[in-house]
Amino acid sequence: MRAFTRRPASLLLILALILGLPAAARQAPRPATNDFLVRGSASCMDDLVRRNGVQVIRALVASPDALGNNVYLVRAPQGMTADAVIQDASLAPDPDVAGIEPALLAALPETYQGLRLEQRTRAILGAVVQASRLVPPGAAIDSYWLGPVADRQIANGKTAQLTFTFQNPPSQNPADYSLSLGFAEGTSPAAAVRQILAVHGGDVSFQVANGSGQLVTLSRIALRWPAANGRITGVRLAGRDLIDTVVEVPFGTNPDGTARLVWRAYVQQPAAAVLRVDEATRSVRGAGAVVAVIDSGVDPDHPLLRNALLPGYDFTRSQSGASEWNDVLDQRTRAILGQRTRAILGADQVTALNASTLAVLESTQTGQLDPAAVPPAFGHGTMVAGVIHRVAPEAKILPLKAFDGSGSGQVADVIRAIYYAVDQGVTAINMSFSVEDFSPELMRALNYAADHGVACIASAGNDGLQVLVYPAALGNILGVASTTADDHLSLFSNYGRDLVTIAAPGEDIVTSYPGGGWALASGTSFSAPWISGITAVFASQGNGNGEQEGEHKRENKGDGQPVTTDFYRASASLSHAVPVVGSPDGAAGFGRADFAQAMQNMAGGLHYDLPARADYSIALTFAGGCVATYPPPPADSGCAVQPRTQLGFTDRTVTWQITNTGSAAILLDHLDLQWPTGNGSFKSLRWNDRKIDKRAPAPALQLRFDPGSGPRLDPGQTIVLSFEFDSTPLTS
Amino acid sequence: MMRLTTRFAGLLLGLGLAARAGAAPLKDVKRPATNDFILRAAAAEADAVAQRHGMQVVARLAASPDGDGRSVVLVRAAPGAAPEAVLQEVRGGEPGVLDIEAVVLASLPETGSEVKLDQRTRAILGAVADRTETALGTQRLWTAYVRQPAADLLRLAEANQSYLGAGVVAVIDTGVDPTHPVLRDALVPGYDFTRDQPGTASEWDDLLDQRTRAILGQQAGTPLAGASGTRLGAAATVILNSSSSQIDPATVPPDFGHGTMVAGVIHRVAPGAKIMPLKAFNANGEASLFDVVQAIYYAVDHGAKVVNMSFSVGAFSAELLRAVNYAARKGVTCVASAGNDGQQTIVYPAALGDAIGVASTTVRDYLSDFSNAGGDLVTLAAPGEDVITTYPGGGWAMVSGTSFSAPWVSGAVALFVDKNHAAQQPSRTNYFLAVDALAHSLPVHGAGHALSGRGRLDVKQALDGLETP
Repeated sequence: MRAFTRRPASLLLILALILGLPAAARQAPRPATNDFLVRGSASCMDDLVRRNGVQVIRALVASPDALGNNVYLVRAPQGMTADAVIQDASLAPDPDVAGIEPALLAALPETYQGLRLEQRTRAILGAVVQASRLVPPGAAIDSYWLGPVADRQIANGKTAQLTFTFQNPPSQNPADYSLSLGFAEGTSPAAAVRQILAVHGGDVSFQVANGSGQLVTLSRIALRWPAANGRITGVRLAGRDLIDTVVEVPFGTNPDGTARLVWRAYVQQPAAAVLRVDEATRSVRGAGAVVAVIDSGVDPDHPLLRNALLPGYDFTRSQSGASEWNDVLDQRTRAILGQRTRAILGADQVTALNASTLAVLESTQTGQLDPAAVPPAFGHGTMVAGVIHRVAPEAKILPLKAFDGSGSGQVADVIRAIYYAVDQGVTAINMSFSVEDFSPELMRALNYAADHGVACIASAGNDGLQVLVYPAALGNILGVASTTADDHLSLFSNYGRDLVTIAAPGEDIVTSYPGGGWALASGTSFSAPWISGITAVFASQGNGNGEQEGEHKRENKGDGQPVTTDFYRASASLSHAVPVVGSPDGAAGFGRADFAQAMQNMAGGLHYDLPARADYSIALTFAGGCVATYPPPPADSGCAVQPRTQLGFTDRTVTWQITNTGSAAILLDHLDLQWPTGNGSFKSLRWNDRKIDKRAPAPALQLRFDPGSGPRLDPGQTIVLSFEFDSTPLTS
Repeated sequence: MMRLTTRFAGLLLGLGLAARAGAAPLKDVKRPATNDFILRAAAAEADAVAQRHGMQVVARLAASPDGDGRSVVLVRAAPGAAPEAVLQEVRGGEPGVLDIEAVVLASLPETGSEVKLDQRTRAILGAVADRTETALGTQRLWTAYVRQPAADLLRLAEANQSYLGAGVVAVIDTGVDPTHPVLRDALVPGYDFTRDQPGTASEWDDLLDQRTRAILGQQAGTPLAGASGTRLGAAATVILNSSSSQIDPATVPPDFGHGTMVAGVIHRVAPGAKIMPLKAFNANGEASLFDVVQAIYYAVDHGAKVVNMSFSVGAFSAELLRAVNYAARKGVTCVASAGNDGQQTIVYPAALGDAIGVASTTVRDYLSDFSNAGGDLVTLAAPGEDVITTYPGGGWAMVSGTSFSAPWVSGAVALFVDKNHAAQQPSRTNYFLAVDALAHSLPVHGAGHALSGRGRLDVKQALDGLETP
């Protein structure tokens, strides 16, 4: 917020653009042409050409199937609709025609939807900007304090060195600087400031002597410096960092083995913390896995992604490579967006490029860029790829461009991309798009993928409705809904258990943007890639830690061999999720993904958890006052105990697993449990081999244990609490 | 052909009538109307929506016990209303409407298909000469049924030494003969969705001709000396005692017995499992998709662990997708036949990602000529030619078609339920474990993965490969 109040101009720009967006139509684009898809043999196509005068545009699959059939994109002659051709084909059925359907269009959901940035967005934008800000010339430094107060204290009679680090080589002339200090508790002037001690490299140092007769605390630093010095990138007192100017943090390694530094707002974004990405990826980060991204392409030169990207293929142009830049016709826009060749430093402007994307631009670029000249879906694929990379930085990304910059793509190209990806041996396919109409050929392509053990992930769409969209609604697809950073279902997200398998954060996601830049994006398109990244890490985990990078190929299981696919394991592990607050039962599938918990369950094989329900809750109070609750997730428990999601529902019991992650034994003092009314009365509690009988008809109960007799958890121990009800517990 | 007709007099009659002229008249069975639609609306709003659009609510889907707020009804538009116009009118601008689709007709693949009895049939008809009995679970049954070639291929004798099956297998079909001695004790109450009545879901209710009923009803137990095969319907050769050869096949509707025959195959694999007959099809092999959808929800909500669907629908239905998805989520495994068009096409529900699609193989492990194929349709294959199974009236039949491949797989899943009894969970775990175990199969000659999926079922091997979660 602070950033905005200081610079109201940028906020006004954003709001103006949001309000100016045209009302979004829910209807997906309809096929404009008389194209359709026909499955049959090459000779059958010849017949169709002869009989109907249709034009065969291309075969969609690299090689015909076992019966010699392929899928063809075919165009009916002018004036002949696809319906007429279909009708003709069914009136005079050609035994060789194994399928015919209209060629549909698919859409990236963010491009025609009215996503609204809300209050939360503004707050987060403030955080992003602040986290990356360097102190501009003339600014007071006191709004950037970092660390404990003790770091800003100078003992009586002591002299401390105050050092400023600048972006550019600083001026050596003492007359160019003027420093004034403020001290807490009104002890001003408590200390004497000596003149500049030294200019060394980028550093300018002052000596501060405390002769006040008491301990003083620095509360304000105001420094004037010459503009040529650039911004302040660090302030230290006696060697301790006083202000937060950390812009980049280590994230993976460079090809030469050195630590790679990446923008902190990306690495430390709230969504990654919510999913517990860093906990889950301590030892495995997707090495050896390949994730295909069927989208608008990618920026092949983006520094974040460059080393993770495979060449890919552009199905909209039928050529290798999958650059998004080809869709930006306006040269000036290309130049502005393309000039950021390195990670962001001092981002202080955020520009709304469309309803769901806020590009982080240098202030010098903001005024020059005309958002209207940027195609609405430009950057979509780069943004999706950036999310996958955040989860699985060692996985390879195969960009498959089936959508143009307007966010529209042909289902025929999507089908080509799916077969291509499977035949390339990818681990997972990310599909951040949706089609409202069902396409049998799309299903067949995805059945082919599932049959080959490829995990397929699709976004649930942004209509905010309980509808079915494809491919997310298909049974062998992980359909992903969007949640907020505090685990509510996003208002724009489609929902419903027939559609959604699982949810992941999809608001204010910080991710890569073409031109080496960054953006904040919202939409289910940016929820799905978290799950794709997670499945890549799963595959990497199951692959002997994926030591041979780039060599993860699915084993081609022959007939008669068991196929425990990545998909099965991924979906079973992901089922160990966290309830989504306040959403109707099952609306968000299993709930919001918990990557760390899912990783713990990878070893367990094909065990499914049931959708976690928000109407079950447990609070455990341990002797000594530590309280652990679930939900919300364990992050806020404040004690070294980790209650997990409901483990299972069998017959009349619901079980919970509790782990003592601390180093001391603890005793449960009392517990509070709430359950849905449909379960009937509570009858008994078991933990390990002990049982307590107690009837409680209300859907809530508190059980107190006599001092010292409650369940005891030794360090590292896990116990299972089983609650028995008098009717079958509600699960989903 | 010549030798066939000289040897089996009964077959002559059957072959002469193999080409079905038309559907037989059926007793008080509702036929799906062309102006029927399935409407899905927000809770309790369906009636209001229907009323606003001048549609009549014909039937409604029972609410699920765990309540998901859905309200799904079968509505009938005014006569003469163009379906496209109705869909467009209701879909647009009705906030309470979640979905609407036209009701399509589901069909049993054997009804109008090209399944032909061929030379191999002769050899198997020799089984009629066998009048011994063999133990199966607690029963002693006709050896030709217990030890039929398909049972040997699937290694059922070995599998049944450890497991006889558990749980309930729902059979969405034409119903069943509730008094068949082989099946009687395995049946649990079902539901007749074609008449909207709970109970035995008897196939006999469709059989109009009293004389035919009487003749067919007198079959019982092991075939008598002089029994022979008579072609009844499109794909079944019914073993009739000599006295009953006066039957007029034209009086037997083409799919009469389909459900009893499917149930008999399941019983052969899993004699310890219960069978829940859900009658959604009439004896002409037709069903309204609404009844099929109802039956799936009914099966799941009444404790079935497996749903056998020996039928196919050519058109995609979002409501069918939802129902099968619901079953999978609830830990119920759906098994469907791949259809008998002899093509690499797709049919539903077999092609759905949450269903196990089953193709048919010969006893020599070739893909049946009539079986649909393709890795995107078929999960695996199972024998589907000359399968010996139960027939209404306490009798027996030999039958071919993918409808009789699917129930071997359904039976196998009932054995999985037996083995993994303690681990059964109302989640997709069951489905995934089943698919994984079934993949311990054998190659189909000349038909790789791309045609026959995982290959041909081997029940013993599958049971050994079943993981415990």
